[in-house]
Amino acid sequence: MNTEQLGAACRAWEPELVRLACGETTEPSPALHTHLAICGECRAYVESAPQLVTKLRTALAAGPLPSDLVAQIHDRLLAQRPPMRFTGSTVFRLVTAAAAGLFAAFLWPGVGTSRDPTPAVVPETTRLTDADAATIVAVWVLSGCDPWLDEPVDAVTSRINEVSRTLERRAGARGPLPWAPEDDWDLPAPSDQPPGARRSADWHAQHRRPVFKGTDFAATRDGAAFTGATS
Amino acid sequence: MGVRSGLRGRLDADERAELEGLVAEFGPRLLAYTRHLTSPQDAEDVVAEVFCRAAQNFGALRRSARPDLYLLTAARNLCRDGLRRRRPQPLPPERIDQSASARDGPPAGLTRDETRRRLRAAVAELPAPLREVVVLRLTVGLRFEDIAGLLGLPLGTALSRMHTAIGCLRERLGRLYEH
Repeated sequence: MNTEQLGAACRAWEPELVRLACGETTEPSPALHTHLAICGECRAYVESAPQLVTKLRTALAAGPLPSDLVAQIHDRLLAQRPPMRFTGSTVFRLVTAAAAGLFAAFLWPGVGTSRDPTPAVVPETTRLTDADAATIVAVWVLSGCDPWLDEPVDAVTSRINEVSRTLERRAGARGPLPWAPEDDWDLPAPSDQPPGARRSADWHAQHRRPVFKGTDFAATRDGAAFTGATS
Repeated sequence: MGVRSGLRGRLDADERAELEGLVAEFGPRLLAYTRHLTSPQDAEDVVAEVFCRAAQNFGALRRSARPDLYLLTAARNLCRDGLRRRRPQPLPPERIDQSASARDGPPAGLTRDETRRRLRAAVAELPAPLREVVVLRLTVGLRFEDIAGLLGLPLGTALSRMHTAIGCLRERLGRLYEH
């Protein structure tokens, strides 16, 4: 075996040599024994490397911990603001609140004007329902806008409450808004529909729900008539 | 419990006891590891920050099959973030002096402390990838399989780095370690 062949053979034994040096194995395998018999370099490695490793272990041993480490950690915990956790429900609540507020501010023109839909039924609920919130989200998504992260949540919440109070006096059955989330007004392609807009275009044509497009709309729901303007 | 307490930034008695247990069990090894990745002062900061984050998320730590690897990974990431923000700094002069004398000085008559200092200096002079494997194996006590997992390396690469590091140290230290 020439020097080059021996070098290649040594490289093949590196993993076992290292494990021997570090004490992960205690005895060389029979095959390594055979190699050590003919390779002085690896033999020297096996003889000296464990000593070096032992010395290094001692020299690099971990020192004592600072005595106030736990107190330091405690202080840090108290000083830190808790991280915001963006779970699915948190995001949904934020998006819903922001979208509802922005929709109320910009896309629902009837609020506080003479062009509000005229309800034919006395409202049964006085709060913005989940269905209405989902509808508002759907409207917002369909409008292609994406500014809700710019709106402070408190302001949005305040606006939702204001809209709820206003609609409380005027809106129709089941909720402040005259439609439900399952109604499909102005639907995009089914694959692009947001949550809340689940009906097909055929269903829409058949039931004549309000189309949220154009300047005026008129629709009936649960026997109540709604008219209004969206421009 | 951990999340709730973490959110309010305060630990109850059970959590504090759990944190102290973690610090006692893993703190020395974390500190030894981080001291070889960054400066001693930064190392203590990193360790405190790692445990702080662990305390904010005890749940994840409890779910982890290997909390030591969880904490070491967090420490490594923090050190790397810190190092990215800073320009590389040269070794402190005393460490360079010690490493030079480790090469040049005669081994005879050295005190144990002096030998230890020279060994540390020689390790500090290793290239960072080699040094990290040496510290993880010899100070933290991880097996090579765990080292490879932690560093995202093939097992063969981890072993090869250790082999190269031992070779460098044998050459650099001469007969120092035999005494």
